[in-house]
Amino acid sequence: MGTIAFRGLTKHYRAVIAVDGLTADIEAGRITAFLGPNGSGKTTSMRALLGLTTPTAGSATIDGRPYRDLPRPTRVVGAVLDPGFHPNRTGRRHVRIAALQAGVGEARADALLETMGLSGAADRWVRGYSLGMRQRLGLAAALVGDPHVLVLDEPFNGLDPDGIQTMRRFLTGFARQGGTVFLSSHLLSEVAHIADDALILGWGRLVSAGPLDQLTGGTLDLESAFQNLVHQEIAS
Amino acid sequence: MNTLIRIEWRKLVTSPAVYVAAAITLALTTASVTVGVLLAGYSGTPPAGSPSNVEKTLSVAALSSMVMLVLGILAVAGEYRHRTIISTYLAEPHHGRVLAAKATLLAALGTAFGAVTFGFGLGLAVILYTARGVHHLDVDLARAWLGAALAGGCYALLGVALGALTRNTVGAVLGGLAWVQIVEVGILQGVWPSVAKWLPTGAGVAVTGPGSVPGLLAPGSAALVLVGWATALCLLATRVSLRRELR
Repeated sequence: MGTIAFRGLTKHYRAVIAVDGLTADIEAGRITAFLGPNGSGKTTSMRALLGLTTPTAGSATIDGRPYRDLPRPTRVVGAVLDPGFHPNRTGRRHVRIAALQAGVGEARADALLETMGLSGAADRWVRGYSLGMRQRLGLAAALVGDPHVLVLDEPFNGLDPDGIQTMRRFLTGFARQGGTVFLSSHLLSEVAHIADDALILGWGRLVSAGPLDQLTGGTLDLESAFQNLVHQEIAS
Repeated sequence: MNTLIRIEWRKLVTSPAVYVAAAITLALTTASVTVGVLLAGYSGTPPAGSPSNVEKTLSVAALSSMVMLVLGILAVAGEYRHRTIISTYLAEPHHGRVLAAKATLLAALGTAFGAVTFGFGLGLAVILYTARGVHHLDVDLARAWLGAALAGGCYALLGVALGALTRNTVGAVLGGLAWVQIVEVGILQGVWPSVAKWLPTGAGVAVTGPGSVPGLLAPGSAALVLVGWATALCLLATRVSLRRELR
C-alpha cells in the first residue's frame, strides 16, 4: 500500500513534449526525491499523478489506481502543489474546509494546526501569513485526511532553518511509519539529507532512478552527481 | 452531492463576498425604494402609489440579480484567482460534480436572495407608502415576487457559467456587467428590440416587472427563456470545463 507507479507517462502541450515516456516506481516507507532542472517535467508528472492534467499517453497510478478512481482521494494522498488560499479566509477555516472535504472532524484540523505550529495564527486571515506559514498551512490541509502517501512540490520553499528542520523530521518520521513521500525540490542539500531514492528528469525524460547512495557513490554530494547526470543527458 | 454542496456552502460563508453582496443589496434597495416613494409626484414624476411609480419602486430585482451574477462569478472564477481550485479538484477529481454542486448552491442562494431582497423592498415600500397615505398597491405583487426569486436564481447560474468559462474574475465581472448594461440595455433594446427580448436581460426584465411590459415577452414565456439561457450556459460551461486542463 502506498506505491506510486508511472508507466510510459507522456504529456505533450501542442509541439512541446513536457514528459516523455516516464516509467518509474516509488515505494512505500521511503522518501523519493524528484529532481531535474526547471522545465524538466517534474511538476507536469506530479499533476498527471494527481489527476490535474490528462496524460497524452501512459499512466500514473497510486495503489494501482488513477487518482480520480481513488475513493475519498485526500484520505489516501496528501498533496501540496502550488498551494492556494483565499486571502480573506483564516488558516483555521482553510484546514476545516479540507477536513470537510476529507470527511474527518474539525478536531483533526485544529490538532494539525497545532502540530504545524500555526495555532497562534490560525484565526488570522491568510493574507498576513509568510511564505513559510503558507507552506505549513498547505501541509496541515494535506495531512488532514491522514493519508499514507504524500506528494509535495518544493516543500522547503520559504521555510526558515527551524522550519526546514521541522519539515525534515516530519517527513522522515512519516516515511519510517510506512508512508510514501514523493517530493520535488531544488534544494539538493536538503534532499541529500532526507531522501532514500531519487528520480532525475532531464527535458521530460528519466535520466536516472535508484537509491540516493548509488547515485552519489555513497557521498552526500548530490549536487555533483545531479550535474553530471543532467549534463550527460544534454550531451546525448 | 450533498457533501459537495455543504463544502461549497462552507467556502462561501467563510469568505467576505457573500456578506459584502448582502450589504450592498440591502443598502441600494433601501436607497432605491426610499427615493422611489418619497420623491414620487415631484418634478413631474408619477404620483406615489400609481402603477408606474410602484413598478419602478419595486424594480429591486434588477439589483439583486446583478449582485447574484457577480457572486456566481466569484464562486467559480475566484477559485482560479486564488488557486484554491487545485485543492478543490484534489478533493473531488470529477470536475463536473464540483461545478454541479456550485450551480445547485448558487441557484438556491440566488432564488432566496432575490425573494428576500424583494420582500425587504416591499416591506419598506409599504411603510413609506403608508406614511404618504397610500394604502393599496395596484400591481401583481405575488408574480413580481416570484419573478424576483426566479431571476436571482437564474442570474446566479449565469454567473457560475461565466466564471467557469472565463476562469477570470475581473474579466467575467466586467464582461458580464458590460454585456447586460451596454450591449443589451444600451444598444440592442433600442436598436433591435425584437432580438433583445429573447436575451437574458430582456427576459429578466419581463419576468421581474409587476405587470406585462410592452415589447417584451409575456412573463411566463420570459421565465422559460431565462431558465433556458441559464441551463444552456451551465451545460456549455460544464462541457468546456471537462475538456479543459487546469492551468
